[in-house]
Amino acid sequence: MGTLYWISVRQLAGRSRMIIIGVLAIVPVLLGLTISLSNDAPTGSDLDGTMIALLFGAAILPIITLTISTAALGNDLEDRTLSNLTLTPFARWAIILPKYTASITVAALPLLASAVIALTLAYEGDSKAVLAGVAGMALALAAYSAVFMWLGLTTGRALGFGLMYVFVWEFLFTQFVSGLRFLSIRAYMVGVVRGIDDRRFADQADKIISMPVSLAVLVALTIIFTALAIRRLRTMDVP
Amino acid sequence: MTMTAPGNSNGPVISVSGVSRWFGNVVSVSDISFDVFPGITGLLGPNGAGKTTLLRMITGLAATSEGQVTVFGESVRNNPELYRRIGVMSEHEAVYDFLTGRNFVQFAATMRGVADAKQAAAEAIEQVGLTFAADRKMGGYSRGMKQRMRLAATIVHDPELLILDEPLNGADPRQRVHFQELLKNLAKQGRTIVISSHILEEVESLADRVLLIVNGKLAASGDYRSIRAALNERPYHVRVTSSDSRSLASGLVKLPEVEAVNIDPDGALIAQARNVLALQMALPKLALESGVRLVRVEPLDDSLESVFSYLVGD
Repeated sequence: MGTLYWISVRQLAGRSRMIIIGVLAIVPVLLGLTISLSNDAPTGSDLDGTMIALLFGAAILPIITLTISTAALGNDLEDRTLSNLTLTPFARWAIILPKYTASITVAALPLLASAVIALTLAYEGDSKAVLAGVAGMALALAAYSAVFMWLGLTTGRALGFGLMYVFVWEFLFTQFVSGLRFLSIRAYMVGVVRGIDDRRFADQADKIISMPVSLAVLVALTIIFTALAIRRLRTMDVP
Repeated sequence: MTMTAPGNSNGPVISVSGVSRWFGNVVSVSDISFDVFPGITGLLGPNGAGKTTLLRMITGLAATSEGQVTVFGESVRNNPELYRRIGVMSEHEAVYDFLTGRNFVQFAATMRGVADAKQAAAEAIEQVGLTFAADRKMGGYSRGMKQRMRLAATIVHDPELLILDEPLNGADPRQRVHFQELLKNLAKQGRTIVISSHILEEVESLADRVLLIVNGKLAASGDYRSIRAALNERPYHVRVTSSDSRSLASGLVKLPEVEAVNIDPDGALIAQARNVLALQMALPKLALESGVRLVRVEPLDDSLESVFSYLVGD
């Protein structure tokens, strides 16, 4: 599995993809830097909404994850190298797990590094706030990665469907229909952030999903969609 | 590489029984049955005949819509353990351009559970004659080199059964000869090799047995020589452009091997003959005797499709 993991990391960390991700990862750092240098520093709740929920939660985190995780198996399907993996004595889970961990590795490094630096700058070194943000993003990353990896294996239009989910469903619809947040990974990420540091999102406390539920759902999503990807690989026709 | 003799078994290595596959309303493979035994079996058919779909079902990459495929007596679909005994080379140039050839073959060995992947890879690369390029990235390989390195990856785990889909695509004549010798050697060691091609001559020098697939159906199967003999008996049409078609036609109709002669609206002559070789020999001689200058001689029905049409009696 180790060999497949490293090959997958190498496949996913292609130059052009890493340039795009690098640019995306720099944006919150620049914003954090601007905030830390500004005389009119935003309040904690402004920061929560802008940095965690909006910039990372609604854009940087899902886009980086979408870009990498849909390619984890989608690229193998597209360039027809998937048969190199399936025509082996490896059980299907032993193909999916290295692919999944490789996609997490490639996405997590730039994303979490960006989060640590940006949140440290924005929250002026408040370690609890930084920990809450990074932990929430790490758990959401695991769930997003599983969902998008399965999507990449299921359809050739994974990027399109993924963008619709992120921008139309999670960002737009959940603003108008409050109940839809229960079908939003971003909402569970916010739940984890507030669960670790209850000063965060204090002005929206009644709308935030509780920490135990958020944790349970993010873990469940990760397991369910990884299992679905294994099942899909077992039953699909490999080109 | 140490080539161990495969286990002896009296049953077929591959058994295809009443297999069909359709995609929506399109039937790609229709009710095909055959068995494959050790040696080289050629799977022949024109492009789009259903060869690749059939091979994908045999290798377990695709499910059957109907019927059953077994390899070594076991169902191949969702049976990863079987791939320790099978080597598959698909028609696609599916390689990782960022890997060197050696790393690619080593990766294939590791993925198939070979104990000493490094050594096995070196030996497989040696067999395909690419040791000199083994440490170059595959992105810089020619198409033929990629195919050979893919073959090395296919044989690296010393499989008993090799399934090769259009393996000679992109290979130059020298590489083809090398490739054919390698496959013959592997077959001599008792292996079962299934090789698909849409080029009759490619299979001619290799296969002991041929399966002809046309329009998703098994049109003919059996010993290659008997099929070839049947092909030699079919009527051929040859179009001859010359300086004087009428004079040439009057000479041609007298030849015993010529069955009919027509002159088309362009003035070219169409000769129908059973024995095309005899016609090839007689035509220049006749032209010389008649003082006619031959401009162009072209076979009209030498495509594989026409050969298959003849065999299936269309």
